[in-house]
Amino acid sequence: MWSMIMRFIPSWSVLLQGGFIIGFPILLTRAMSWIRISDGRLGTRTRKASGRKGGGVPAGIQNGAEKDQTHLKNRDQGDEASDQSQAVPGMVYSGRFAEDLQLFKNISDDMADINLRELRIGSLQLRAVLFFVDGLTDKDGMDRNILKPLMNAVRPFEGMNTAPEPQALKDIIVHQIVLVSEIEYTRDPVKSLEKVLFGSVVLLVDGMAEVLILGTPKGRTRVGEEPVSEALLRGPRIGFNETLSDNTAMLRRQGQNTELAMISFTVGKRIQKELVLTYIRDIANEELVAEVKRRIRTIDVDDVQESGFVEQLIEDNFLSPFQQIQNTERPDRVMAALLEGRVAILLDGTPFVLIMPVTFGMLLQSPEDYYDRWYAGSLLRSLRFLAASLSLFAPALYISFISFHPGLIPTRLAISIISSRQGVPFPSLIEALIMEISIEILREAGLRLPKPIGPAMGIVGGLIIGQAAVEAGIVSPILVIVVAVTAISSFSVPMYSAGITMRFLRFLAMFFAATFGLYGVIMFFLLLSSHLLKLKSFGVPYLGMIAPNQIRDWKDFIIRMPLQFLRKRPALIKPKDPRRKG
Amino acid sequence: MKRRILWLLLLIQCLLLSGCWSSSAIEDLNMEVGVALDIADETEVEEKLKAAGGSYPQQHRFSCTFQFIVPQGAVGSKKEGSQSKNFYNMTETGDSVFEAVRELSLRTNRVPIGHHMKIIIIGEKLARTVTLSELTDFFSRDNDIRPSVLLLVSKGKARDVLNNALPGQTPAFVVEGIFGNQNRNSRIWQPVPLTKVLGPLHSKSSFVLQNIISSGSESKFAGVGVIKGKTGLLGGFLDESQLEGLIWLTGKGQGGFLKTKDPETGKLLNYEIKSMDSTIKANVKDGEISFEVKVESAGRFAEVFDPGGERLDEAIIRRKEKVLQDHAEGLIRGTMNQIQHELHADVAGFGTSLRIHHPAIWRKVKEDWDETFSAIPVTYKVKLNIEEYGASGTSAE
Repeated sequence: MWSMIMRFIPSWSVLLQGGFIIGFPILLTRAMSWIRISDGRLGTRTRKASGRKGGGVPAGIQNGAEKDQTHLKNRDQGDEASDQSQAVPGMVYSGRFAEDLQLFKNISDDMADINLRELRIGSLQLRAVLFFVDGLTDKDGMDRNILKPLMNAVRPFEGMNTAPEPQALKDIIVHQIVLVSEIEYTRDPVKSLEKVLFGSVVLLVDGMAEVLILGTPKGRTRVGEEPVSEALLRGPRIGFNETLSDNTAMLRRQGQNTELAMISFTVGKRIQKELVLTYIRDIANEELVAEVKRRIRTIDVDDVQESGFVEQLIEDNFLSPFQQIQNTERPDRVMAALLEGRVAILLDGTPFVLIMPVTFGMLLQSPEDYYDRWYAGSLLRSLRFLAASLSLFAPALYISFISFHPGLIPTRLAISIISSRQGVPFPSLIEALIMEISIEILREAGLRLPKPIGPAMGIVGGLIIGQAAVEAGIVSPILVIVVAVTAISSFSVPMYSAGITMRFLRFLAMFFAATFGLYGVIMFFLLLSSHLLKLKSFGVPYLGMIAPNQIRDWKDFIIRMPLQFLRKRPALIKPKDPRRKG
Repeated sequence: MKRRILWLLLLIQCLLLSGCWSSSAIEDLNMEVGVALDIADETEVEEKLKAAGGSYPQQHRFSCTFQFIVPQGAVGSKKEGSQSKNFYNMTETGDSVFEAVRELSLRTNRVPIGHHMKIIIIGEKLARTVTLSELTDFFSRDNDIRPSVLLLVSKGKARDVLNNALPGQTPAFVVEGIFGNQNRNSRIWQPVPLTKVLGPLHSKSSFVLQNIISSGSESKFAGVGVIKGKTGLLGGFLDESQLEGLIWLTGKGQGGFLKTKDPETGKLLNYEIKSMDSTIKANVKDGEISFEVKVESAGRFAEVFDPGGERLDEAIIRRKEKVLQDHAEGLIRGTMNQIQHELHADVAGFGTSLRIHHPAIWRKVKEDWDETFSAIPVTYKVKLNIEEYGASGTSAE
């Protein structure tokens, strides 16, 4: 009886293998949670422990006043008044200065890049205020042609003690004082806001119900060169630069829309830097915006040197090899993300803008997919998915085929592999590691080298070392092909940082393959999948695109359907307005 | 405390498992590509080894010859005059295939793997004395060897076939590749993989295996060997024209040609088969079974030695079709005579037809089908259709 049962119990080595397979993920999870707990003791991160979006903001509650921020420059509108009142259609300027000022402030809340400048006109000391957007307006011209004449206006008001009638006052200002060719008048606050956002200066004068729109938009000459890290064949050749106001202006110019909100924060305890959170008010999910705001306020460091600091300090899971916040230098990419209902963060002093939340598909998408026709876009996208899986698994598959499953290789190929591996002294894992590591070193060296030497180094390294290694019998020529294909594939991932993730995981996959063969590769894939399934970026499931709640999200995943069919924004992000207009 | 122990356990596991399980590098393996089974007959090498004192108690039932691949060195470095053979054969005589495989491990360090085995050739003498199920048992049990490995018989010594190939070629691959020529010659029986053999062996029905013969320097496909269902032994052979008849009978051909002489002119007629189809109909009338074979084929004139430049007309074509039809029917009759009266083995699927159309009758006769089959009358109807005459329209008559 007992021996009957014992017969079915596997031998120790089998048990050991099983234990290893079970133990490894447990070990990994344990280590992760331990690290996370110790992080919670030290940092401010735990504050985002509850709530539906993975943060402390309960669903459906509008955020109140932002207290942590102080405004740089002379900005007195902003978040204190945020969200308290939206512009009511049909509202007009009344002519009462304080009321009108407040009205404009209300409709332009959430837009920290709108500046206002109060002044007194000429000898009558009439109260007036100028609205303009920093970066869009020609400030020199404004100072010279609007501010200075208005302040110095003495002659037009000679012999007057009180303010003239509004009509007369308007005539005087237009005819005698302001040195601007384009002038419009309006009583509509929304229209005036629009004009401000597009670069004009709006003059609001005490006692006048009409505001003057003075055309001083300025085309900034240098707005940044083509981004180095995200070159495109087709698409705008413009990238963000290091000046925040330039960047916000670039976004404004990308999307001329009155709903583009820009909320300013100050980050850094000792060296303060301005950070702007931007989103489209009638698209972005409020909860998401609130959560991002909350997380920005938990940033607690001396100096935020680059947006990478922000990324690492506010991301959901800092132990995951996958990035949960996308960085980009391209305004068109940011605008496209904003239009999908995502949120972006701009930081002063860096051209890299952060986009969140991120889904897995985004890492393999490029703006070109949308600019080219849909066949090309779809094909290139599927090619990138293929390349990404190649760059992740090719060396691992090579190792497992060579060491474990010779029967899975076609006969002729098997023969030529056997011939080519005659005399290779290392097991396939060591062989693959030698080549992979030298390729990684080459790549890293190529980045640091000055431009003229870089390509030469690539040739020396790639060609000569590869060839020599084969001839010396250290590695087999097949492996050189595998490594080369892997390296090239990893370059085809449009996001550089996603490529790094693949590079890192590739080595893990190789070790799994060397221990368990194809079985190990599959186990590794499952481990990866289960991690990705759990991963969330600002409450949005990372793999949400691959296993969507609504099948229509697949229209824009591996295959990009024609634009006519992409009528809705991704449901995953739960935008306020699910339909793309027009 | 318990947790600590668990941690320790996991740690120990990681440390102990530093090696690689069941990993064996591909370059250390010996790739078997073909096997030849013969009646016991030791090679020179074996005899010398035996003379030197290497022997092991055994009954000497048969010799197994394994064909291995010789890797040709690094691909990049070209050797001068690399006319060396890229295969080598090792023969081991023993009581069983398995024993022979393991005996090899005394002679070479490399582990043989069967994933890429392509063919198994069985010599005539062996196949006539040992049942096929015994011979294939090892191959069907082994989990390395694919069930897609092809079976052949050889009139003569099977291991000679594995010796013959043009320089730079591997005999096993050549033999496997010849099966791809079915659309060029109608005297190639369809490839029979191991899986297709196990069923008939079990149900005790007869079937045929391609026969391959060897001249000492080259090999050739020549007819088929008939495995008798009842005994599982090789019963006899169909020669090449009988195989041709069998192909016509079953409609299994994919191409090839039919050659005959026009009795009127005495000149050669060569018909290229483009398609062929056959239906076997089983009729039962008053308990009497009879078969009706209907063969249809379409093709073209490939080579016609008739002189003159007469225009082709319908009547002449009809007459030529008739000549060819008669020839094909003759071939079929020749085959039927052999399998019904000489070999007593239904290898053309008559039984299947009866089973499908008259299952009740089949149940009665299936026990001794091969013998019953030998006495059943068969009628034939062959219809050839000459669709075209090639690029030249005038050369025929």
